[in-house]
Amino acid sequence: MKIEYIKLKNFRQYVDETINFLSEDENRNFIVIVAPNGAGKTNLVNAITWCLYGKELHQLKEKYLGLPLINTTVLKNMKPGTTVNVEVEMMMVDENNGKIFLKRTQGFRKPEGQSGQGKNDNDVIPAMDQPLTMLRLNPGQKDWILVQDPSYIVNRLIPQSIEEYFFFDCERLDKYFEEAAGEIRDAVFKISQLQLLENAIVHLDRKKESLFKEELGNKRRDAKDIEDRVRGLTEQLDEMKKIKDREEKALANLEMEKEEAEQEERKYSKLLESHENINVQELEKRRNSVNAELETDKKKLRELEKERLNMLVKIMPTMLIKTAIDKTSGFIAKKMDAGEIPPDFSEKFIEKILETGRCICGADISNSDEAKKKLEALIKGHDKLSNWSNELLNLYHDLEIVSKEIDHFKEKEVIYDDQIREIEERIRRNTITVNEISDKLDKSSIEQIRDWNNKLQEWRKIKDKLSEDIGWKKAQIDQIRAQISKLEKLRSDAITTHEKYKELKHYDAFCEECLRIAKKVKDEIMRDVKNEIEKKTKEQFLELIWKEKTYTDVKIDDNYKISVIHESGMEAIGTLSAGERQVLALSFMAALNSVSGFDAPIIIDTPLGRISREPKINIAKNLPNYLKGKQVTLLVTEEEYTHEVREKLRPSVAKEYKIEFKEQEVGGLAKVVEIR
Amino acid sequence: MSEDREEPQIIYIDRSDKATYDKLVEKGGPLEGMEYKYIFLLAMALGYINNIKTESIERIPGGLFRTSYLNTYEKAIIKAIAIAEEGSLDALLDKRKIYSLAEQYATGGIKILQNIAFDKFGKDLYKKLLDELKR
Repeated sequence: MKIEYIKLKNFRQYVDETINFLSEDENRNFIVIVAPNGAGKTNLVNAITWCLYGKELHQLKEKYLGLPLINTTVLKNMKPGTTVNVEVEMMMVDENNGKIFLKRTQGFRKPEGQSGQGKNDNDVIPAMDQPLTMLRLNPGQKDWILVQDPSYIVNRLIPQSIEEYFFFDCERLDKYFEEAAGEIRDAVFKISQLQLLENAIVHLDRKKESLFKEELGNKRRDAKDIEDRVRGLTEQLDEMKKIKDREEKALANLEMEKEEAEQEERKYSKLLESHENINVQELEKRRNSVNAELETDKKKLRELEKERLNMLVKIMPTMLIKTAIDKTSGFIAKKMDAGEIPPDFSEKFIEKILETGRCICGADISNSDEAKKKLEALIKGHDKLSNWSNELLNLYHDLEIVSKEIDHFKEKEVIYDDQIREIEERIRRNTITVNEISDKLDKSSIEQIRDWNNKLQEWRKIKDKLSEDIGWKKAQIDQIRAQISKLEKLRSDAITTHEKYKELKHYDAFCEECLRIAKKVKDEIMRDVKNEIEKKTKEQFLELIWKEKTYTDVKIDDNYKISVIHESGMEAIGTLSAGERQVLALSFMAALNSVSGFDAPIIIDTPLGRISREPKINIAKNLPNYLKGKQVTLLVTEEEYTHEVREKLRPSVAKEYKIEFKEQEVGGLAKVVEIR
Repeated sequence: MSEDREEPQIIYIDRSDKATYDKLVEKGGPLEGMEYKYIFLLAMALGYINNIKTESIERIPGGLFRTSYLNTYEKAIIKAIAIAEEGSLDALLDKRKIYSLAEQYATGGIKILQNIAFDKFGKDLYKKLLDELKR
């Protein structure tokens, strides 16, 4: 990326200047602008940073401190109440002939009521702050495109944080090495364009951190915990299933035993029923019939009791909150008595009239404020609940029915109580009858009858006991089944969690590996970049320095702390002369720029100021090689730009300008004149 | 006053109370086979009459049952509690609040029902509930 031209209007000492940077010879990439100190070299760099970032980033000369951007002569001649713009525009062109046009404008207004004379003439108010305008012409296209977010593009071209490595101010050279080493490292990080890799590392770190939390939430456990839990639940399940099998077998045995007892009971009952003694036969038949009736009654009793209980559970809420029901019914009744429900009108109906502006009688009320006000007052005074009159009336009706249910319950309760009492009485009577028959048979004079009856009674007791045991066993088995079902669900959840955990572990390992590689690549690139910068800095420094044999090495540590090694083996950076430091800084800057991936033009302010004759020529000879392919603008003084320097740079120079400066009472006027 | 005219779709209970509901209606339980909604309404009424409600409920995931299972009369008694509590028919304007109040009372009342149903005294549940009505 090269600068095609810069146009300055009313910026500091430049009233209306255009500087063209390109020549027809593509191999000539150097532009030299010669000017005495204070003529406007640094302000030219500031014009560029102001255009790009909206700020003058390089140290202003003392005479401009506190002055507005606008040229002081233009300012002085402004009439009160008028506005003048300060403008800087740049055209940049890339190697494919794609272009970027940049323009920043700031208006300045002179307030009314000033004489046009005296100190206050420099008072000016920034009137208009236009943001940066950027137009883009893509290679091979004819239409310019307005860039919506120019700051973003500018920061992609030359990030503001590292602009000083492109707009290089040799007056500040010492500061480059005084900066915290970490800042240089960070700047190198940026110019090495490793941000994408760093973003990937940050993203991977975050993803890794949140991986388990996002997917498993509070269920996060260590793999071992989950495995132990699954194992524990499986063991419990196996144990419960064994118990269930055992209990089911026990139940089957009990049922068999009961079946056996019933058979024995039936056997003795049949023996009694078929006994030759008719009286015995009849007694046994009677006992069997009463027993059957007893069984039926007991079952019926259980059913009736359950029905009655269910009925009570259903009506009990109504009975318990009867006071709340009465209170609610009272509220609604009050509204009905007051004539509020049903309402005289619907709020929606009035709203519709207001909306259409037409009354139901057909009258047009759209222009009648009085009618509108009346309708609005009706809505305002209308009770919202009245709109719900149907709901209130339904509620009132429902609560009435619910309350009546209490009376119905009481009627049904009496019926249930009577039926239950009747059955209980029948059970009591039938039990007595069965006992009496058993007593009679037990007291029979025939031993065989007594024996059969005793055996029948024993088997019946055994059968009853077994029935109880079976009921108990069934309940136990149901409970075990419920526990098994619960354990199975827990185990299934734990397995799902475990599977998810295993999957996440896999992702975690993948993230870890990506992180390791990304960090390794980043470290390797950073190390390579550092080594390359160190190598180039060393080569260039040792080539440019006039005491070549005095210094043997240049080292840059991981934090970009630079050391220059003296032939004695001692670190010598602290004892370098100002000129030597300038050479070191130039070498370092050239190395940084050649290694960085940024395709940005370079501007070097006062590059040879502190350097003596011989190395100056050496630098002029070598600089074009070190910054090959880069567009380099040198802002130099006559003292720097000696005949020898000019001759050495000549093959690379595309344009040569000088700034003619005219001192004014305040500030000055500068003209840029092409001299070659 | 904020209005929420839509009644909620789901009735929630506290996560810790689900076991009690299940024990009441499970096979062999004192209210074997009864629907959850009857247990909920009874618990709500017991909570209301004893003035015990739990304002912060850790809702059971999925809820207990859908409000569509409640008939119009059951919904009427839920509304009556909210109106009596607020002392105004305005309570009807916020349906979510009505059901939230019912859930709060049910959370308070289920503990009472648990004590009645599972206490150690031999009296059958029907008689114990009648005793509760006479209190």
